[in-house]
Amino acid sequence: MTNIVEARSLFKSYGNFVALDNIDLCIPQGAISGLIGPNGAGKTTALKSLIGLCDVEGDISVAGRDPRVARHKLMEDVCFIADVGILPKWLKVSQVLEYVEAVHPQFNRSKAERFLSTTEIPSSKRIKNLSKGMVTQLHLAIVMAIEVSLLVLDEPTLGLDIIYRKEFYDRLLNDYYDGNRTILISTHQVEEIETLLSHLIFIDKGKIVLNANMADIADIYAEVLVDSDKITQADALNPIYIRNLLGKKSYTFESVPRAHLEPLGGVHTPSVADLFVAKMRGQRNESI
Amino acid sequence: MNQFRVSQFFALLKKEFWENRNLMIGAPAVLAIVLFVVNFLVASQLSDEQLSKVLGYVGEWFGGQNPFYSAPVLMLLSLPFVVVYFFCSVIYLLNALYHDRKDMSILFWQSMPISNLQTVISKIVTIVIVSPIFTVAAMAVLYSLSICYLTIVGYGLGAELSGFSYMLAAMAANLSLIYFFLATSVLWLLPLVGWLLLFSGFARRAPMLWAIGVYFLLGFFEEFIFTTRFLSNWAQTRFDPDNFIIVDFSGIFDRLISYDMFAGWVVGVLLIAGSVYMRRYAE
Repeated sequence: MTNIVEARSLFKSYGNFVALDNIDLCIPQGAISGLIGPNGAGKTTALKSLIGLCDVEGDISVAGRDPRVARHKLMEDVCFIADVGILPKWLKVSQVLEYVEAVHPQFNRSKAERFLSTTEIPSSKRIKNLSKGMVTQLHLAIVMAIEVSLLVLDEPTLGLDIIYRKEFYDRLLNDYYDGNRTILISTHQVEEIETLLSHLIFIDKGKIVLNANMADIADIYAEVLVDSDKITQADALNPIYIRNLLGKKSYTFESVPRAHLEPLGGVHTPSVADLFVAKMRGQRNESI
Repeated sequence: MNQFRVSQFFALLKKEFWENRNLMIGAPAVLAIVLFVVNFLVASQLSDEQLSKVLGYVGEWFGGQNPFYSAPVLMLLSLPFVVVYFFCSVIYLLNALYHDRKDMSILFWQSMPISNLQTVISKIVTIVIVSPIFTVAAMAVLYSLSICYLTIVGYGLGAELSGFSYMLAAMAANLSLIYFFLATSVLWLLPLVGWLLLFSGFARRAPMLWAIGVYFLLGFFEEFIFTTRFLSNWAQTRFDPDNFIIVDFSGIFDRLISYDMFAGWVVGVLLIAGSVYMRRYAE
């Protein structure tokens, strides 16, 4: 599988704060990738650097282009939603459509209007008069009507209620994703997107702490609810994270063969959320 | 340039209009209404005899005159529009690269396939070519309403109005003179345009304070270190109204094609290039 994003040794600092610490990032074409990390981990900086909105050191190729050289050319192949607040408030809905139709060669206005007709968004209203959920729907309608190879979403459902959040991802998956397009989503709300993802990237303190296909996660990571009499054996296998669960201890292991784990208790693949916590806590040496 | 690129650029101009319609149309329209009401009130204070005399005198003065020669007389009437235009333009330029960074909508604009250079050029074209159209349009409405009102009143009073058709022609000539004056003044003041855009693209807050503060700081350092006043003298000459106000048609081409104009462009273009750079990684 070819990579639509290839970035090597990305480095970015703001004064003494290192936002990206020489990270490598590869996103396979056609994947739905999740860039997941806590607040301040470097997600937004990483995404901005991929679309030429952030001056960063290192080598980057996105859809075959260096985003730092010609961002506007790249944006013919890449769409970007930052978060719900970025559509200009003074524009009317109809004006947004008119503008995008005029400036974006890949935009299909009738497709966007068809999508909007399934919502309650009036085209005569100004964006400042729409609810947060409606603004997200409008932005999604625009993005879904643009034929691009990569869609970058930075915390796209931040501040939305659960109904809009679910609807956003349902539409994205059912009406937009066709198997060829690549979607890169950054969020710190792991549970929301874990069922969508085919590729997983964890970032913390400017470093990539996990970069794997979802299909490989089950081979690499395992969570074991360890029987109380097997604690010593479990500790000897170098768990990356231990937590208390229902009076027992749950251990998360990385690259330990399942045959070694099965005698310790019930083995299962950790959820993305649990794996996220395990990796983040492991990184910070805060295991309970 | 292919057709799509042209329509793309028109969309940028349209976007500038949507965003700044209060500055472009609202301000001159309000001024036109205020001036019409003032004219109306002044006229209503005069007795029929006085008004008839004034109208007769005005008609007589314009009657038979070449409108291109009589148009400059109306420049005084245009002065409030010129002042409002410059005031609104300064506000426009200070906000041009600042406002969308403040409300974060820059992330939407930059997610479109439009370069920073195209964005900045659209703002300069707006201020040089588009915005003066609305100022002149507001003046045209004021002139039309005024001449209709005075014609009706004058007709009722039996005043001699045959010169009014020449006054109408002089007004039309004055509107085109004002348009060229506004456009060429902005070109003359391109260093100021570049300076304001530079700080509009740079400042995280209060771009006006930055633009004024840095100017004075540079002037202060120049005088302190080199004991010269090149910057302030140059700016003074540049902003001296005598150097860019046009009162008749004869000065337009001399103004447009002059060494001083091109010297200003060099400085202006450098500052505008700086604003494009600021825009590139604006956060």
